[in-house]
Formats: sequence, structure tokens, C-alpha cells
Amino acid sequence: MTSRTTLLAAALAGLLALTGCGKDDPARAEYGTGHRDITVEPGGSFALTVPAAATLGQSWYLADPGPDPAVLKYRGRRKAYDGGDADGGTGGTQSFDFTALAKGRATVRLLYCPLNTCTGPGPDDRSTFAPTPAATASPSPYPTVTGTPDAVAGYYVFTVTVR
Amino acid sequence: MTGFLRPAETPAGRRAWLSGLCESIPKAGSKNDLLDRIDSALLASAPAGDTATLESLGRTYRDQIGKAADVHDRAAKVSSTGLPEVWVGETGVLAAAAVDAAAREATRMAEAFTGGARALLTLADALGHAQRQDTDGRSRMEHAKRQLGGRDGFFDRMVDTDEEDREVAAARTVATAGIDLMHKAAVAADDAVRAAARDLNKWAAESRAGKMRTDDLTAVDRLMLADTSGPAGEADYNEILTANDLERSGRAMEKLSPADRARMEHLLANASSPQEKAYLMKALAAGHDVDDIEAFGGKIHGKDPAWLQQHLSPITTQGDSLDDEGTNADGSNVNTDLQSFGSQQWAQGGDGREGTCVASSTVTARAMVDPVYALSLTGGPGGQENDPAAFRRRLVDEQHRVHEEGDGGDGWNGMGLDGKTEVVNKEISPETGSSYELHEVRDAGSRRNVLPDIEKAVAEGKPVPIGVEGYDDKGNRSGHAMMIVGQEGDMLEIYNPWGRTTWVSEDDFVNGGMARASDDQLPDAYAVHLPQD
Repeated sequence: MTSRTTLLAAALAGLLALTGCGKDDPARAEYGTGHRDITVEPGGSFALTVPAAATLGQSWYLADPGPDPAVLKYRGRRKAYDGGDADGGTGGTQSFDFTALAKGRATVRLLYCPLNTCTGPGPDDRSTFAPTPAATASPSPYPTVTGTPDAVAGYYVFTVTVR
Repeated sequence: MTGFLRPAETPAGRRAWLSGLCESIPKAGSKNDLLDRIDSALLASAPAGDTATLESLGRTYRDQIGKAADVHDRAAKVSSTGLPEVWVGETGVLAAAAVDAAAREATRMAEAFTGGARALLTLADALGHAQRQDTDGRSRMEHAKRQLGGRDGFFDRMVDTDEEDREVAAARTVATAGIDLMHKAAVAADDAVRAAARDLNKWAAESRAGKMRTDDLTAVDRLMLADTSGPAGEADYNEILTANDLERSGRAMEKLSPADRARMEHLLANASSPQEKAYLMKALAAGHDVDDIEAFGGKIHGKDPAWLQQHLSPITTQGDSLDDEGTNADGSNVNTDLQSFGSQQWAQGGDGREGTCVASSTVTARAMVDPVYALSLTGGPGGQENDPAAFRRRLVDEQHRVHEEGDGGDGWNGMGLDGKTEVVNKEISPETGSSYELHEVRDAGSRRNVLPDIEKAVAEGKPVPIGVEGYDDKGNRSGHAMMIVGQEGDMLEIYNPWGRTTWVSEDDFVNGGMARASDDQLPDAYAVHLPQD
């Protein structure tokens, strides 16, 4: 493969990742943690799809305050497992489905709880560790994270513009 | 169903046989079909067991409770008078400590007699009730059979009159009530036998001092070794030497050459605490030779009991860990204990981000049964370190070694059942003396069938590897490996290589409630590896 075709393949792969390769609903775009600013058209469906392996004790939650209900409708959470016969497969995702209702801007906050850190947002959280030190202006014990998910609990904030 | 098949002559076999007929008899369409099924039901024998003998044995046990309590009272009285600082036994045991241990052993003995008597009397009651219920059901089946009369011949079957249909329907109603009673009796008998086996196995494992059969240690020494626990957690849940350790170490002492036995006795006599002594014996039980144990003894000599527990026992079971505090939103138990060395959990990949659950649960289980191995991970080559970061590096390196040994996936991603069978047999079996055999348990019946073997194994101190799984909406699977490490009554203690332990009930294990030990993505037990002896 030449370097030119390699680049083309990489570009296509990036495009597929952005627009949702293998998604259930062909009309629904999927975005990961690498795309925090999202633009959709009114009536469009999209999903925030984040890495979460069932065997690694990772989970994601839609946190309060939820997105502006006049702009976005939350459709629910889906889980996809890695599907292998082995124990300990590290693949898998969780997806949060939305439909854009009307023009405007909405903020979606997802709380990421890796192993032994938290069990969900709000008063139901049964943290087994002391929360990450409050080094941010986040209104919760967990920081707002701008990088990729690792072993630290935190909020991942997505800004969705409907136009 | 053909007449050539017969139900297995076990409570579980009768239960399974009658369960199928419970479904099919109400649907039996023809007279001959119904007669075949009634005959099949009557092939199953009644719940077996002589209730009078069980009651008599239970009363005999109950009569011993007072005697054991009397021994306890006398030992406690001696203890309260204050004993001089004299040493007894061959390994140097304080007389006062020995008397306290004797009092505790007497209490355990009284508890064992109480528990044993209760188990036998409960079994006698349940069996008696089941036998009466079975007799009632069986007589209804015979009645239905008489109602039906002889079998239809070839030409009889060509036309059924309305009256004949009504007669078959009436007999079917009677037979349905009969099979329901027989099935209920079989279920009750099966459950009662399992519960009695579980409780009696547990009490047998708890009769600890008698497990160590060696003339090379005095009764006082054996009593003290069986009685010793770490300082953290509930003493009864954290005895250093398991029943299997006591038996194996006693046998190993007997096999030592006179010179090695003298070295071993010298090590025990010079140990600075009962805990140090117990860990030396645990190393012997794990199969180490005296050279290894001398080196190990040099590393742990003089350490306080808390240091020893932290470095040599990966799992500490808290007294309140059995309390039911409900579940989190994800289905996991609220009451969960992290298992850590300092700030570092005994977790897969160190922080849970590697798919090495098979290797990681195996490494921790081996560390539970072999204190020399545990110290190599916690204390490093010299055995003196107390550094969680260094422990994490060694732990993860070891998880990686075992992952590769079992041909686990690239990038520390998953291991199949063949690899799991290989690593548990290479890593844990040499220390416990029991090889592991895979049992797939993909339905409630097969899970129920393996419960007595699981409970007997963990009561003796042999960890039982367990695989759990779940499926997403599209049928894609996710599987995870954990370890059953304890048992109390109808509860099982589960170590999850997410670095934590919790308890699930037998019902959770049988009926898809394993989410309590991980989360709702992994609800079903599907495989266990059982120790073979």
C-alpha cells in the first residue's frame, strides 16, 4: 500500500468514526469523546458512543442537569458487548441516544465511572474511593475531563448545536 | 419418554425426572400417553432416608452440647484466675494462650454440635414431610391409573367417544394433582439434603484442631495453630490455616526427614507470635521444602501480626461483610470490601483497565493459599518492602506472566476456558493438592447440582474459579472470571479481580443473581472449576 492510499484509508476510517460506522440506525450519527462540539439538524438523531467494557467495571451515566428538553430529547442508553467467547474481553461501548427537536444549543454531561470510583451521578452515588480532589470548578466531587477516558472518574461535557 | 429410561436414584435425579413429567402430564393427549407418563412417574422412588435414625443422631449431637459448654466454662474459669507465664508444647506456647484457645475450641465444638444437631433434625423433619407428600401424590397417581383402566389397543385408538374423552380428562386432573405433589416432595427432599450436606460439611471443616494429624506436634501446638487468625476482620472468617492447610501441613510434617523435622520444630519454637508460626505451617502446607521455609521464616521473623496479615493474606473478611445493605443502581452489592495492599488493590491490571481477569483471579487465589508467593508480590525479593507502587508493578507483571501461560489474548485481552483450566491447575493446584476440573453450568439445575461441591471446597480452604457472563440486546456476549473464596450458611464469598469481595446467596448463584458480585452486565454463572479431591 502506498503512503497516499494509507492516508486515504486513514481519512476514511476517521470519517467513519465520526459518522458512526456499524451503527444500528443508518440515519443516526455517532460521536465519541473525541468530538465534544456537535452540530445536528432539527429532527436528526445522534448518539454519544463511549468505550465501556462490561468486564472492566466501567460505566457511563447521563448526569444532571440534563440537556435542554426544548432542544434535545434523550432516547435512552444502549450497551454493546465485545461478543467473544473468552472471559475478560476489553471491547464494548455504551451509547446515549438523542433526537434534535428544535434549533438551539444544549449541553450533555456524561459521568464516567471506571472501576471502584463511583456508581452514578447525584445522591445515589456510592463511591468506594475518596473522590478525585476538587481541583476544578466542577459542581461535583468529580472533575470535568477533556482527555480520553482512563482510570479516573469525571464528567465529559458535549455541546450540541441544533441548526 | 420410553420405558427404557429410569430416573437417577439421587434426590437431584428424581427432582429432574419429575419436573419434566410435571410439565407433560397436564398436556397428555391420549389415554395411552397419560398411562405411559403415570408409569414413568411411578418409576421414581420415594424420597429416601430413615427419619428415626436421623432424629436419634441429632439428639445424640444435642446431648453433647452441654458437655462442650462445660469444658468451655472450666477453661474460661482457669483463664480468669490468671496463669503464670509458663510455656507449654514443643513450639513454645504460653499456657494462658493455650487455655484461651481451648476455651474457644470448646465454644466451636458446642457450636458444631448445635449446628450438626440442627442440620440433622431439620433434615429429618423435611424428609418426613416429603415422604408423606410423596405417598399422597403416589396414591393419586395409582387412582388415576385405575380410572383409566387397560391400555387402548390399535383399533381402540381409532375412535374416542365423548365419554372416553371425559374419563381421560378426569384421570388427567387426578394425575396432575398427583405429579404436583410428587414433584414438590422431590424438590423439598433435594433442597433438604443439599442444605444438610452443606451445613454438615461446614461443621466438619470447622472441627479444625483435629485436622492436623501428626505426632510431631503436641495437642496444645495443634490447638493453637488451628485457632490463630489475623488481627483485622472477624477472627472466625480469617483463620490463617484452612482445614486443608491443617491437614496438609500435618501430613507434610510426618513426611519430613528427622533432620528437616528438627529444623521445622526449631523454626516454630523460635517464632515470635502464633501468627508467625501459623504462616510457617501454611508455607509447609503449600508444598515448600524446609530450605524455602527457613528463608521465608527469616523474612517474616519478628514482624507484628498486622504486618504479617497485610503482606501474607490478600483477602480480609470483615465481620459486617455479610450484612445485606441492598444493591446499587447497577445491581452490585452496596456492601463490598476493597482488598488492598496499602493503597493498591489486588486488581486486574492494577487499576482494572486490562482484561486479565482469569490471570488476576488466579494470582490472588494462589497468594491466598501460599504465603511465600504472597510475600514475593507484596514484600518483593527481600520480603521487607512496604511500597504499594512496587507491589502494583510486581502484581501486574505476574498477571501478565499467567495471562501468557494461558495463551490469553493480545493486549491483555481475555482468556478462553482451555487456558483457564491450564493456569488454575499450574498455579493453584500444587499449593492445595487438588487438581481442577471444568464444569459448565449453563442452567439452574446444573448450577444447583454443583453447589455442595463448591461449598465443601471453599469450607476446606480451596478457592473455586467461577466464570460469569451476560448478553446485550443483540446477543453479544461478555464474560468475566472471579473466585469463590468463602462460605457461611447459604452465602458464598466472591473475590472479583476488580479488587474487591462481597457475598452472594446460593439463590443468586443458581438463578442469575451474580450481578451482586460485579454488576448487571454479568448476571449468570456459566462455569466453575471444581477441586477433584
